[in-house]
Amino acid sequence: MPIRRRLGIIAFPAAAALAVLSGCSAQSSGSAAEATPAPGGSLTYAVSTAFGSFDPNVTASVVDARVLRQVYDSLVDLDAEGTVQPWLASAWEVSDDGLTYTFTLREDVTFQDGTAFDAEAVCYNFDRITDPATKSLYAVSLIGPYDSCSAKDPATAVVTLKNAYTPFLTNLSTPFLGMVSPTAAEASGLADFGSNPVGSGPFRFASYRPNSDVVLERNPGYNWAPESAEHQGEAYLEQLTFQIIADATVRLGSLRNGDVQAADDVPAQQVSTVKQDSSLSYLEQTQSGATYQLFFNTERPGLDDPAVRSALVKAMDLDSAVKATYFGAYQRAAAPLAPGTIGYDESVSSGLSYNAQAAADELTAAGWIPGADGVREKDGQRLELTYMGPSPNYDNRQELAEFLVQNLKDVGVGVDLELLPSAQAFAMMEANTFDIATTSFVAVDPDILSTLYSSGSIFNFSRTKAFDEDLNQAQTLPAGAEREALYAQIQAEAISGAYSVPVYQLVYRVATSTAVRDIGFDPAAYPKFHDTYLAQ
Amino acid sequence: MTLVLTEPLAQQSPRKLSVLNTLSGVWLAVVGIAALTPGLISGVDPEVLHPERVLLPPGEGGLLGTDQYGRGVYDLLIHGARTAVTIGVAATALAVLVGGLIGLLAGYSGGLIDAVVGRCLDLMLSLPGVLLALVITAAAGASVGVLIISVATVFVAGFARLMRSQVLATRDRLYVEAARSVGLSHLRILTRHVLPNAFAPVVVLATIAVGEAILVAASLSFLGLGPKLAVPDWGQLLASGQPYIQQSWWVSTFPGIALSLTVVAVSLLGDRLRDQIDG
Amino acid sequence: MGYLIARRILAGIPTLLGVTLVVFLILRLVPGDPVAGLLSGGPATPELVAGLRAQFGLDQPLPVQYLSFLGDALQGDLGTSYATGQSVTSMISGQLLPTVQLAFAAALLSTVAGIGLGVLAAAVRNSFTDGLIRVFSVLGTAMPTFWIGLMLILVVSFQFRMLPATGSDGFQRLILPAVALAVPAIGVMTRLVRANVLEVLGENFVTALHAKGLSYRTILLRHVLRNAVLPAVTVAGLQIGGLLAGAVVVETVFARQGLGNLILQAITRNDYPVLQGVVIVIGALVVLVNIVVDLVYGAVDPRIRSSLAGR
Repeated sequence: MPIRRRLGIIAFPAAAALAVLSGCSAQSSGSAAEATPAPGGSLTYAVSTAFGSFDPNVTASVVDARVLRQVYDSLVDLDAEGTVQPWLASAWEVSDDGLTYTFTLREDVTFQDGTAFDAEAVCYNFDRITDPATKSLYAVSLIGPYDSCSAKDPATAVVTLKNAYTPFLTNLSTPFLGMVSPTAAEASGLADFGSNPVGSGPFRFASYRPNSDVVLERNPGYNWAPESAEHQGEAYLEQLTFQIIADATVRLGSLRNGDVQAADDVPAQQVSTVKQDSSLSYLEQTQSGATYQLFFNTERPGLDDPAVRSALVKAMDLDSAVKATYFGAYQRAAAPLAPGTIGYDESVSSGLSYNAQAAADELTAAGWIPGADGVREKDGQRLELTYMGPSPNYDNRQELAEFLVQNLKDVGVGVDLELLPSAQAFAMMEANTFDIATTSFVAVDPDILSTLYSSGSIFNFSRTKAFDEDLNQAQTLPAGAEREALYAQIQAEAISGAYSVPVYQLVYRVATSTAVRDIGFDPAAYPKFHDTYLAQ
Repeated sequence: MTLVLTEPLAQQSPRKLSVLNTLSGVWLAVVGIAALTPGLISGVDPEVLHPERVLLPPGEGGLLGTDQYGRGVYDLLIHGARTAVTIGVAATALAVLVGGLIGLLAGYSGGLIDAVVGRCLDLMLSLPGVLLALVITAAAGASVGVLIISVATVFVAGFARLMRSQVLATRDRLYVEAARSVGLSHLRILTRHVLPNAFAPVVVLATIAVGEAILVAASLSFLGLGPKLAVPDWGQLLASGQPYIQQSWWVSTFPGIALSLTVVAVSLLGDRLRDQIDG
Repeated sequence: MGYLIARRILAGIPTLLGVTLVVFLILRLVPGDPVAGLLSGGPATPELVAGLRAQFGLDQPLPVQYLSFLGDALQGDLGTSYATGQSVTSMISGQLLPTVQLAFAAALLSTVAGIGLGVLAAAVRNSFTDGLIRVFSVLGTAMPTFWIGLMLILVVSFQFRMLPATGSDGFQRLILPAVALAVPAIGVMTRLVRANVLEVLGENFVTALHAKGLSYRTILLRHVLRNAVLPAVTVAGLQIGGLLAGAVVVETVFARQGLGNLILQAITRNDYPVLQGVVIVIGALVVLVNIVVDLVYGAVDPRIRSSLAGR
C-alpha cells in the first residue's frame, strides 16, 4: 500500500517515463575555456526532490532515474537522433511478427559486485520486473506484453512478447530498465535492494542518507560505455554525490557558495540571472515525452459539449500566462508530444489562438447565458468548474493556474482552483469530481499518449474513449512513417476535439560552476556523468 | 509562545513616549481602516491579476512593487490586513473567553476541580502552543475558523492561569468573605468584585496575545496551513514571495515589515494601557 | 537529591501521558478518515478500506487504540508511517539531532545575549544604548522567525556571501538558523533581565553595599548579577519548548534537516502516525527540559531546595 502512495507522490507532480531524440549535448552558456579531461575529483550535484528507491524495477520517479542512470546500464542506448543503438546488447533481431526479440550480449561486462553479465542475468531482470511480488510501479508497464525470456547461450537472450509492442525496444534504453545484478538483488531482497543498488554502470553505490544525500563512487574497470559517450573506460570523477536541497533559492545559493558544484531545477525566474553570472554555466535540455497539458473532463456537465470545451480553450491566454510565469525560460508547447519525441508534429495545434470575445460568443451560442452574478448558466445549471492544481507548488504551476483561472472567470466561467497534495489529488481523480486537470510526462516513446488518452489509464483526465483503437494500433505498428503519422493524427484530434490543450514544454535546467565540464543528457534529460570532469 | 510580562518598554521621557505612542496609534489606525474598509486607501481590486506587470520593483510597479501575479504589493497588504486583524482579535477573544471561564471556575470552586484544572493547564503549557496549533490545523483542514480556534488554544492556558490567580487573590481578600457573610449571591460576587479586579491584567495580557496571535497565524500560513483566500494574508504573501526573494526582495520583505510594525504597535499599546491601569 | 530527582521525574509522567492523550484525541476526533489518504492510486473497495483499517488497528474502539499505542510507545515503538512503511521511531531518531542542536544553540545564544544585553541596558539605564537595546528587544519579539530567517539569508548569504544558507552539517550551517530562532527569545530575555537587575539594584542590601563603599561596578557584577540572572535561567529553560516548536518553522526556511522537515512532509501526506510521533517526542523533550531546569534551579538556590525537600 505504501507503494501505491509513492506512485502518487512522484508520478503526479513530476511524472515519469522516457522517449526519443533531442540532443546529447545540451545547450550551454557561460564561459567554458578549453580544458582536457583528467580523472579525479568529486562532484556534488544538488537535486530538488528527495529520492524514493534506487531499484529501477520498482520506482517510477524521474528524480530516482537521475541516480539510476549512473549506477545501471541498459541493453540499448537511444542516441540524439532517436535511433536505438547498442549498449549491453551489441546486436538484436526482431521477428517479422514483432513477437520475438533476440539479443546478442557483450561478453566483457561484469556487475559492480563481480557477477558476470550474461543472458541468464537479462532474463532474471525481466522475470523480476513481472513478478507481482516486486510491485513494479513503472518498469512493468514499459515492457508491456512481456511473456517470457530464455537464455539460448550465455551471450544470447530471447525475449517473447504476447503481442507486438513497438515501444519495447525504445523503452529498453530507459534507466528504469537498467540491468540489476541478480546476485545482489537476491542477496538484498526486495525490501533492501532499493537502498543497496548494484548494476554495471560507471558509478557504484557507496552510501545513502534518506532526505539528505546519496554518494556514488567510480566503478573501477568500467569499459562498456555506449557509442554516444565521449570516451571509453572508467568515469573521470572519483566521487559523485547527489545532495537533496528542496528549496530553490537555497540550492542556487549553495552553488554560488561552492558547497555544491551543480544544481538542477533552476527556477524559471532565476534563469536569466544564472546565465549572466560569469561564475556559473547554465545547461538546459528539453525533456522528451508529453508536454504540460491542461485536460477537460468530458464526463462532467457542461464539458461534455465539445463547443464549450473549445470555447474555454479560446478563453485562455496561454502565451501571456506562460510568459508571465516562466519569464521566457519555458516555451509554449505546440503539441501533446514534446519536440524530440517520435511523432512530434508542431502543426497539430495550428488554429489555436486566444480570443476572449469569440470564447464568450461561443459559450452564449452553446446556451450558457451569464446569470445575475456574471457566472454563466444553462437550464438552471451553473458553469462552475473545479480546477485541480498541484501542491506543493511544483514548477510555478500554481502561478500558471491562477492566470488561467482569471482568463476563464473573465468570460463568465466560475472556477474553483483546488491546490491538492498528491494524495488528495488522487482521491479527486478517483471520485471524478474535477473538471480541469493538468499533467506532464517524461517518456521516450510516443506511446506515452496511451497514458494520456486511453480509457484504461488513470491519467486520462479527459476521460475520453475516442482514441483507444488508434492507440492500440499505433502500439503494434512497426517504427516508421506510418506509425508517426498515426500519432500525429491522434494528437491533432485531441486538440481539435478540445480534450486537452498543450501549455508549456518541459526543460531540465542545470546550473554548474564553470569548472564542471561535459555533463551529458539523454533524450529524456537524465544527466550522464560518465564523461564529466572538473577543469583545473 | 511564552507570554512574559515585563516592565513597559518606554519609561523614557514622557515626550519620547508620546511620540512612540502616537506613531503606533497611527499605524494601528491605518491597519484598522485597511481591515474595515480597504477600498478607502487602495482603490485597486487586488483579485485581478496582471500577467504583463509581474515582479516589477517598487516605483515602476507602484509604491511597493508587484508580486508574481502582477498585483501591487501595497494593495495586497491593505486588502490582506483583514485576515491578520480578524485572526489576531478573534483568537484572543476566544482565548480570553474560554480561558477566563476555566480560570474563573477553577479559582472560584477550588478543591478537586481546581487541582484537576491546574494539572491540565500545566499540561497545556508544557506542550509548545505552535505545535498544537499546527496539529489542529493539519488535522481539521485550513479555514479561517479553524485557524482562529487553533491559534486560540495557544493562549487559553495562559488566560486561565491568570484568571485563576486573580480570582484567588480577590477571594482571599476579606471583603469577599464579608460580602458572602452578608449573603450576596455568587453571581453578584463575581460581577461586583472578582471580575472588575481581574479586568486590568487580562486586558494587558490580551494586547500582548493579539500580537502573538497574529504571528502564530502568520507562521501557520507561511507553512502552507493557512486558509484559502482570494487575497492572500500577510503570511501567505510572504511565503509565496520566498521563491522570488533573490530577484524580487520586495514581495516578501514588505509583508514582514507590516507584520512586525503591527505587533510592535499592539505591544506598545499594551504597555500604555498597563501604565494607565496601574495609575 | 536523588529523592528530589525521582520525585520530579515521577511528577512529569502524568504530564507526558496528558500530552499523548491530547495529541491522540485531536488526530482521531477531527473529521476525515486517515485511511482515505492511503488509497490514492487504486480503487477503494470497501474490503480494501476495511483491511487497511484493520491493519493499522483503526477498527478498534478509541480507548483500545490509545492503550495499545501507549503500550507500544513505552517500548519505544511509535507505530508505522502510513506513507513510507518505515518505523516512526527510526524516522524521528534520524531527524531528532539537528532539531535539538538548533533549539539548544538558540537557547544558549538567547541566554547569553539576553543576559549580556539586559545587564548592559540596566547598567547604562536611560542612555542611548539602553534605548537602542530596548527597541531591539521589542522589535525582536515582534518579527516572525521565518521572516528573520529570510532576511538573514538575503543579506548575509546572498548579499555578503558570508555564511552558507543551507544544510545541516557543521557549525557554520547552524549559525544563521540559530540566530533567526534566537532573536525573539533574546528580546524576551533582555527585557526580563533588565527589569530584574533594576529591581535588585533598588533593594536594600544594594544600598547597604553602596554605603559600605563598594563601587557600582563591583556591586553590579558580584552581587546584583547573581540575584537577577537566576530567574532568567528558569525562563531560558521554559523557552526551550517554544524554541523546539519554532525550530520546525525555521528549518523550513533554511531547508534544514530535522523534525520540521518530517512534520511538514507528514502533514502533506496525511501521515498521522508520524505527526503524532513528532509532537509527542517534542512534548517529552519539553517535559524533560523542565525537570532539568527545576533541578538546576534547585541546586543553585538553596531556598528552593529546602522548601521542596521539606515537603
